[in-house]
Amino acid sequence: MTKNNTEQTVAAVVVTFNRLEKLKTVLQSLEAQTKLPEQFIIVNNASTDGTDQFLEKYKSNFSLEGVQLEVIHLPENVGGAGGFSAGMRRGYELGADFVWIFDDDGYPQPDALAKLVDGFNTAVDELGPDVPFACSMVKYIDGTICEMNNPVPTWDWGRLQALGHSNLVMVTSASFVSVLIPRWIMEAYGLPYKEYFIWFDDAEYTLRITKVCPGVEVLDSVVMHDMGVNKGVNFSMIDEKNAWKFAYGVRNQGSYRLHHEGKAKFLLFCANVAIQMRRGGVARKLRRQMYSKMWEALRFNPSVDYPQQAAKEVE
Amino acid sequence: MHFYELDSLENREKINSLSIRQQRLIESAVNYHSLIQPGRTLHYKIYMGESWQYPRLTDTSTLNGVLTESADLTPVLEFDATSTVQPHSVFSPHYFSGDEQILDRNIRYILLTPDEATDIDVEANSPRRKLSRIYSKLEVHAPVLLDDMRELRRKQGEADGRKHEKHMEAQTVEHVNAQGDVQHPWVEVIPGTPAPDATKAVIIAMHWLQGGGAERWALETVDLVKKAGFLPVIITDRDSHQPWITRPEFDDTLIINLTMPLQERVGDPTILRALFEQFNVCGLLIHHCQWVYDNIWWVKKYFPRTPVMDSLHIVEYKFGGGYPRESVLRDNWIDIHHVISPQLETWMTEIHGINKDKVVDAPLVDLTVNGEDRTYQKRHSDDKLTVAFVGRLARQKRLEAFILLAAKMEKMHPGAYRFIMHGSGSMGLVRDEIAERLGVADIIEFRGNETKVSKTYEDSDVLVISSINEGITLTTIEALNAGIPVLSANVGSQYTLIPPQGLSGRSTRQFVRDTSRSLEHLLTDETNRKNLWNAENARLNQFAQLETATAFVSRVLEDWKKND
Repeated sequence: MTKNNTEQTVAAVVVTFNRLEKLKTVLQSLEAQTKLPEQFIIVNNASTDGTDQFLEKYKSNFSLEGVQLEVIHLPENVGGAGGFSAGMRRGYELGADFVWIFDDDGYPQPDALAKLVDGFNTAVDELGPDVPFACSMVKYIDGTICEMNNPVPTWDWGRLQALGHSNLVMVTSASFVSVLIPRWIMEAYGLPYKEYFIWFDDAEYTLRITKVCPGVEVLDSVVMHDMGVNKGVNFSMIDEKNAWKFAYGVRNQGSYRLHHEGKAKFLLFCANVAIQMRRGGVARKLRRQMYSKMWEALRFNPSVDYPQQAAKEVE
Repeated sequence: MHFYELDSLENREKINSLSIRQQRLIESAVNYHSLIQPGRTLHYKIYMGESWQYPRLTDTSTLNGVLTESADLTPVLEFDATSTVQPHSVFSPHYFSGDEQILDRNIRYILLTPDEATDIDVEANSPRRKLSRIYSKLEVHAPVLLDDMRELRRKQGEADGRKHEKHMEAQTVEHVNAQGDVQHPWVEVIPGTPAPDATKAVIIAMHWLQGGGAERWALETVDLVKKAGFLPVIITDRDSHQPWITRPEFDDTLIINLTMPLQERVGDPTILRALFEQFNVCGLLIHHCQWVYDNIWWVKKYFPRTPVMDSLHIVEYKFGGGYPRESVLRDNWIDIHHVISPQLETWMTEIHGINKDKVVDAPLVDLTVNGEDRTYQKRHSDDKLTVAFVGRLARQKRLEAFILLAAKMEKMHPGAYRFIMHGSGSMGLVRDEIAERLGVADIIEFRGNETKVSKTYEDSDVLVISSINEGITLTTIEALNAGIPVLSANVGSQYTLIPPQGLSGRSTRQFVRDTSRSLEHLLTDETNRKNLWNAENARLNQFAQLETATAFVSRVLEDWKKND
């Protein structure tokens, strides 16, 4: 049977780690959707701030009609990447036609999902059935654009606009803040690399699934991203506090450049990181740490997990 | 039969203004895409290709337009068609070709070819590799030497055909996933069942819709299937201009002309699933159709009660025996092997150990012309013997051997023989070149499809079969029915109908030598000719004691009706 637009089911996947208060706002935003997802899948990444008790209580009191709630308590923190991988797998297992994924600090506006699904289906009507995802416009809580979450437009980004769809922009890479992914994409291209733990998992995944057909950003589907400071990041900003996160970034992005794009791209990436670190005056010790991550990237090349198969063990 | 709705009457009229052949090719293509994409509205762009191309109807070029739009062709017709198919399982619009995803832009680019296009046009424009060019030169300038070399290959091929191989594995999702070399792990697609009131149908799987012995028999089975009360669903899997698509036998049938590669998923021959959901498929008749052979495991896995029968004509020298080999390797999934000659029956049962109860020798002999009705046709002229060749101009028919024979006879007895070559095919240019080189272009009368074959038999005194390989040729039976004897290379099961005095050695060298002697005997003494026909007629009568293919298949179809 081929499902029409009104029969399509969506599983909302939220990954959370020690942000209980923000998570509560996320859940309220979900409950307020004009088009309710058929499933809420909350992945608790072994939080230590009482999120587990809250979610158990939330589950026992949950009474939203027509919505199935799934809470997954992971035994350890597997990072955003591991959390999305687990949540998307569960969405697939529950038979959802789409998973709609975001972090625990993204608050979708009431019509965000309805607009996202409409935008996706419009793109399919115009571009064909192979559109791999639709993502929302991500705004900072003050209403300005979120510096960190801007998708990368294609060279012909205005193609759908030319056809009269002023709310749709064709994009490739996007971040995991309100991304609607169809089931067939997970089956054909697998899940995000859980081994990435954090950083570049979203970029890698959206690049992976847009090799043939671009995704779309739906400009009138809006999500507010409640991040601390609205600022983009680059390798000149590395300091003692954030170095752990940048280390994942260097390893993951280095691995992607080398194993998916080739040696030249890898070397360019390494050179770029080195230049940025020098320009930013990053401490020598931290620079050495980043260089060691580049070395690690040579051997770090995880394989794809597919939801229709058991997950591979992390080495 | 339409599985779609067109966007406007105007476009229907535009389609109707095309030739019947082109209309039917469009219908075949749009039905295919509508069946595997239920409910979707697709935009169709119809292009007219060159005569040296073959129609592209269902392959991946119809999705990416590489042979049409990307080649800067202008569509002759465009329309939207919405599939009216009510599916009973999920038909994904996402397909992969190896590691590559096939992008679907909601458009299908269909390439037709002019009605006058022939295989010769395609052959004349096909790119030649160096080796192929050398082969073609040898074929024209040293055909005997070339055939000596081919004879070595044939002997090796015969030996290969006797080798035993493991039965084919069903290409299930589990099996393919276990191979490891897959783009992604495949998920089983389980077909739905048809509606209780679905039309009863029999799938007839064919090579193509153009002339050939196997196709003539397949055409007859289309009529038999209709008479038995089933809808014939015709599948073909080989590139062709499909000239026979206009034949009245195909009126009120569903035709799906496949052009490869298709949109298919591992473990899911999508168009077959669609057909099994839309129809109550009561059986499969396979006539030389590799794609259906490759997918009968699927039929037996999901519809085990659906009977499968194949018709086999000839053991090839290559591919370990050709279609009979394909059949043997899939014997577990085939209920009946219909063969048309004792040679093939022996090959199947004694060499390959197929259960004798499953192999039925039912010859393609029309019993309506029995021995009593058949009468000997006297020689047309006392001082001239007319020698005929009837067949497709294909390598298998070894037309160069016939032309060599003509050249030799003309040299030995100038003016004593008249030659007719009747047939068309991809080697028309080669025929002309050889005849020119041997200086016999003027003494051979070339006839094409514009002349009826019966007229050629009527005008001839003897039929010569120069083929490299045959089962039992229909032309042998037709010639005997027309009252003229047959001389044949000793190939396939020709010995069943032709006595030793009418047979020649298999190689070109032996064929020309032996047949030239026989022709001399026939020229000098009419009694020899009559005796040969009598001997062949007696063998044909004996052969005709077997239940004919027509009677046998009619009986099988009656059984399929009862099974339902």
